[in-house]
Amino acid sequence: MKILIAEDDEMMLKTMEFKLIREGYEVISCADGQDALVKIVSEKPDLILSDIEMPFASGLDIVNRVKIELKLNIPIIILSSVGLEKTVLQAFELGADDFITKPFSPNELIVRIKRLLIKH
Amino acid sequence: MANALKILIIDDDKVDLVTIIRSISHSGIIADVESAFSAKEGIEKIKSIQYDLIFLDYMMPDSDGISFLKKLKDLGIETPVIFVTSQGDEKIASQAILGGASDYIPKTLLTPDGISQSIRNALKLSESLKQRKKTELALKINANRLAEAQELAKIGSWEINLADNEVFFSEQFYTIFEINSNCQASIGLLKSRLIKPDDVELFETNLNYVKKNNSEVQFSHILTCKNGTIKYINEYIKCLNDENNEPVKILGTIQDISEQKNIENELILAKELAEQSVRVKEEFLTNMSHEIRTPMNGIIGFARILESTNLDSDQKQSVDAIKRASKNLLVIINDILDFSKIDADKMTFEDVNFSLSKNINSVIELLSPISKEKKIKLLFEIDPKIQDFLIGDTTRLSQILINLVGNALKFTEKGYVELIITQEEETETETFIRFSVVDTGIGIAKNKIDSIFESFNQASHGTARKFGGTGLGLTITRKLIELQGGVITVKSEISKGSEFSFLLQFKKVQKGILPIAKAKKERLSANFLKDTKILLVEDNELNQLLAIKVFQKWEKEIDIADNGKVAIEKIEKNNYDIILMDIQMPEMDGNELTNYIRTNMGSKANIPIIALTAHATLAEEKRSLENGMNDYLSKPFDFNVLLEKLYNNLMNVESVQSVDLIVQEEISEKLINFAYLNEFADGDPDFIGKMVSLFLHNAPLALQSILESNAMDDIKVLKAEVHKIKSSIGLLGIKKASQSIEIIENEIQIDPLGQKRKEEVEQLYEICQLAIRELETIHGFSRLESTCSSELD
Repeated sequence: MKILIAEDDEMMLKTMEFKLIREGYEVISCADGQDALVKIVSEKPDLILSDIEMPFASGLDIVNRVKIELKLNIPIIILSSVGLEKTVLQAFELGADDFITKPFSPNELIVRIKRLLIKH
Repeated sequence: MANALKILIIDDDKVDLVTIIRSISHSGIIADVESAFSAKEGIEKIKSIQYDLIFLDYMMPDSDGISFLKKLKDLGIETPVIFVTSQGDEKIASQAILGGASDYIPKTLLTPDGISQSIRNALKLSESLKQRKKTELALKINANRLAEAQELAKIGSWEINLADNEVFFSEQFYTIFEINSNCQASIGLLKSRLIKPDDVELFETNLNYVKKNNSEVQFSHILTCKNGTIKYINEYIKCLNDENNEPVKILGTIQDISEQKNIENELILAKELAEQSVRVKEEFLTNMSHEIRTPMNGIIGFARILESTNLDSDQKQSVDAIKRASKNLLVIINDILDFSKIDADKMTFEDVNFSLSKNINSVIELLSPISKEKKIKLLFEIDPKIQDFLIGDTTRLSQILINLVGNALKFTEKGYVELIITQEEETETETFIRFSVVDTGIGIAKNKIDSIFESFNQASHGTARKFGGTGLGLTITRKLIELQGGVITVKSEISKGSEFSFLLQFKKVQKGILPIAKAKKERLSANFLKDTKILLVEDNELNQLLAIKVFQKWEKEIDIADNGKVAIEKIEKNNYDIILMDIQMPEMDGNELTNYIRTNMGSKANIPIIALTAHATLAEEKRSLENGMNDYLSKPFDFNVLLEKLYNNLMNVESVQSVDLIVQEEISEKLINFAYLNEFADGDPDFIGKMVSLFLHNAPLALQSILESNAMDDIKVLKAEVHKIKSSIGLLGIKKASQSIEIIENEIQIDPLGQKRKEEVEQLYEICQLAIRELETIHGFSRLESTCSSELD
């Protein structure tokens, strides 16, 4: 299973990458939104984890691109943080599948990923 | 062949004449002989021709020999004369010889032998006479020269011949000591010329010493002249030895050095006068500063109080204007004070631990309102190679930078001002940092660059009118740099801009010893004042009123004493917890009063005392602490600082803690909690190590960017940067920083340009810095940094 992570905080990105690899997933790491938009098309991931606020392209841009423009059936989990509830709602309206608020427990993240992958 | 002698024979007796001529020619002497038959004719001949020898008949009809000699003498003619005498004239002739004749020869002896003998004698005699005269003349010239030299130099000399105790004084000796030149030189006179018994003794001792030790000595004394003036005399005595090293003579010189001495005295007087006037100037400046600071304290203080009341916008503007104007005035006063300190060589520098980035930030923050107002970009860049914690005079560094950056802003109308800080060199313990302030301002003409550092000078007088200022700023700045061993250089081009640059050396704070980290305290609440009794000793009414108002704000009443006497009475009657004391008061000043309290007031002798003073000097601070005061506050003071000092002293908090202690405290709080990161890592220590290295690698840059955007009020960048670092901070469990970020993000939503946001970002920065230190020092990750980050890259 291929999971694409879009996260501009390098440490957060590496941490999630480490955890997911341990769980047996193949990981595609993207340090900004633009990078993610390109790799979604080229790598065809099974699931996308995307931060909301990123340089060049935001999490909302990614959801919009995947769900509305490309109409791809890839589940997207939004990585949010306190104070960004409004943006999360927008993401849901655009078609995001789930969200998780930082700081989140890694196990919770894994559970949410598994649940979505089973569904799809 | 010898030249022929020119001989004149004067004789009226032709027989004698012929006899002499014949004898001469027979004697073998080569001679050119002429003759005269009368004294008169002889004189005529002598006048026209220079003869080597004259034979004169002693008894001439028109003159006797003596008269003739006299005539020759009168004419200045020194030709030797041999008298030719008749029988019976010998007695007179021998007398004539005493009168100057060279020889006489009786007519009976006019033989070739006799004549030859006589001529030779006369010539020999004449030659030796000539030699003697020459020597005498030379001696006389020398003596005259010596006398002249002695007179010019006012040097007299004397000597004692030890063989016969004969004494000689030079002419100047008589003149200097005002002794009649007829007085016979003697050892007695040599001693008695000194009037004071002490001087006589001194002279005798020295004379004996020289004689006994075969050496030389120098001494001086004064001499009262007949007209009452005083002469200063230098004496020099020396023993002269013969070839067997036995003393022969004692030589002495005396020199009248009154003129030099008088000039010296005048110089000393002038120097004392100059020093006194400098002292007066310094005192004046110190007093003026006090006199100006006291009312300024009132003005700024009341403006602050006014500011916290309900004001409409017009009133608020007016209060702002008052605050601004008074702050400007304070800057000017401080400039003048600094200038006078530098002028009097009294500028000192402190060695304190400080954070360079923090120092730079506060400078930028202070000046950013000006740049915003003028719509000029204010940028800064710190070389990441520079260790942030340094030792040096942070206050003076700020002063220099504020001046240079402030100046750049002042003279720039559009474009930017940038402060660039780079490390030029680094040793184990020290770092050499170059500070450059670059602007796109009006620039300085080449021929004006040197003069901008002169006191009271701006590039043109018109500049002063347009841009204001005391004209002391750059002078002080340059001095502050130079006194710390640096040099300031200027590059500039008219209407393109300028670059001021200087290099300073700082000591590095050694690992393990961290500076006193003043993690910003929560704003202190004044609640602790509730049950305390406070006495203010202050003679100035304005300041009393201000203090009452300030404490009213904190809902606290305080007691006031106008002077030392009242203060002592009040202290006796009441139980004060703390005393705020003005230093400069009439009658009994703060230091005296403190001294009195500390020594005479028994159980109350140890009340904490905080000195309040307008003398904003380190020396003053030291003095008041040495005098037994507990703390020190310079007027005009910040209310919060006053509150802090009250808190520290009332709660008995040691405000100056040892560096190590603070570090331990800071660290013992432990900012970082790895529990969360560990959840991801599943206990993999390698992974945690890598993450920590990553943070240490990335965070400083990110924090820098956060600080910059904060200072520039660039909210968009600030928001993005804060958000970016937020996750990392969450992962490392730096709870304090997370909380801080929450506040910042909230502030960005509700009051993006507010003060609270700014302060909170600074606090975030400080927390993160501490966290970085914690990571480095406790877990020793710093060494892993390079290897890990390269693996991760």
